[in-house]
Amino acid sequence: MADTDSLKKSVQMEVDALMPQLKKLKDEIGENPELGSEEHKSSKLLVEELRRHGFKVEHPFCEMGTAFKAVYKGKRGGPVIAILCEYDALPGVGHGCGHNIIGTAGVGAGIAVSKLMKDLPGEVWVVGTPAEEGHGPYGGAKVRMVNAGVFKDVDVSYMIHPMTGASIVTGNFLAVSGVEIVFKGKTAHAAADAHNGLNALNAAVLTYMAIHANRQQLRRDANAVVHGIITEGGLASNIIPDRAALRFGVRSSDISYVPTLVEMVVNSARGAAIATGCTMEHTVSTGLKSNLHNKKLESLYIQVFDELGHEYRDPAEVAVMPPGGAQTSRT
Amino acid sequence: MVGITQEEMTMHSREFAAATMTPGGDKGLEIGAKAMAMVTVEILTRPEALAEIKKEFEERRL
Repeated sequence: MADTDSLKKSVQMEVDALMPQLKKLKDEIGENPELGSEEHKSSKLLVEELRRHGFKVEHPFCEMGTAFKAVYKGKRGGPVIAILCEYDALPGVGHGCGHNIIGTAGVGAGIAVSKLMKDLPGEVWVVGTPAEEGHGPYGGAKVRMVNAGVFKDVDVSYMIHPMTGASIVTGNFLAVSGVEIVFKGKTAHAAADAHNGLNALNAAVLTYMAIHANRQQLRRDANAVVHGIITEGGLASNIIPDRAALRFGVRSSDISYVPTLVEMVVNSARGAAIATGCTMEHTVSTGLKSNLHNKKLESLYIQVFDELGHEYRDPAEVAVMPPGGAQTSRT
Repeated sequence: MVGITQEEMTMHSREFAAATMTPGGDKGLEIGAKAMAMVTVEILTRPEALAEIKKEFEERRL
């Protein structure tokens, strides 16, 4: 078996050889953005590439049409390493989170390593995890996979994510949960007969404002963030809306504070329901935990960034930065 | 996380979507693929590194 340093040189050359095709895939997915749970073309492109290079692929996977698991086995024994892919886009802004890069980089890394596997014990997996942004039924795909035991025999797993500015090898990410609220009222002519209606839009607006007022009371040490939109607010200005809906995300660096934030959002909606006479229903998503640091794994990425001559921000400086995003953007 | 642009912009924006299609986006793809491939080689060839990663994870997990 060749030594680690020469194998790392070989694997870089493999990526160089793959780059024209990877770039093509990245741009094709970038030009054809698909929302979460609907990434049919994007997942197919990545899966076809993996199959072409001898990976054994399950697609659909884990009861999700746009998920996949691709395996390349080396010699017997050794660890199982799972490289994760994302490839869903955002409504209105296409690949504004750069998942076209995540998916193709994961496929590229997996294929490059597969070329060395005949001499190495272990397995390389490339796992396609759809709907990271939470759109559609496959939202929270990674949590579903964990619960289904997909990662039971995996020793270590990672993915890369593009960003603005200089690269980072560490960071603090918030725990997140999503809350959906639906108000039901009663339609009526908005001018002639408004007194016979129950205005669900009023309930949604009051909810929005109550949450806004409550923000001042949130724990600042818990880096609490509450963000949301009104997703339904009526169909015509001359009809009292009998249905309105909101979607909120709540985030915190302290996972034990997330249920309190969820309760604040739900109570704001309860109050609005009483105020307007509408009925209210809500659902809370599974949610995601805040991240754990792994100094050893971070040190390996620092080492390879150094070897690649790739600049990154001082990890000590990044480690004390307040958390900005979430573990993933899902709400 | 791999930086792909030094221009003033924010994530979850049309501007960032456009940035993924530039030479900076290509470079980010290359660096990302190489970094993950090289770390995978490290872990496949150095069992002691993996043992340390797993030990740390077990100590920190909730």
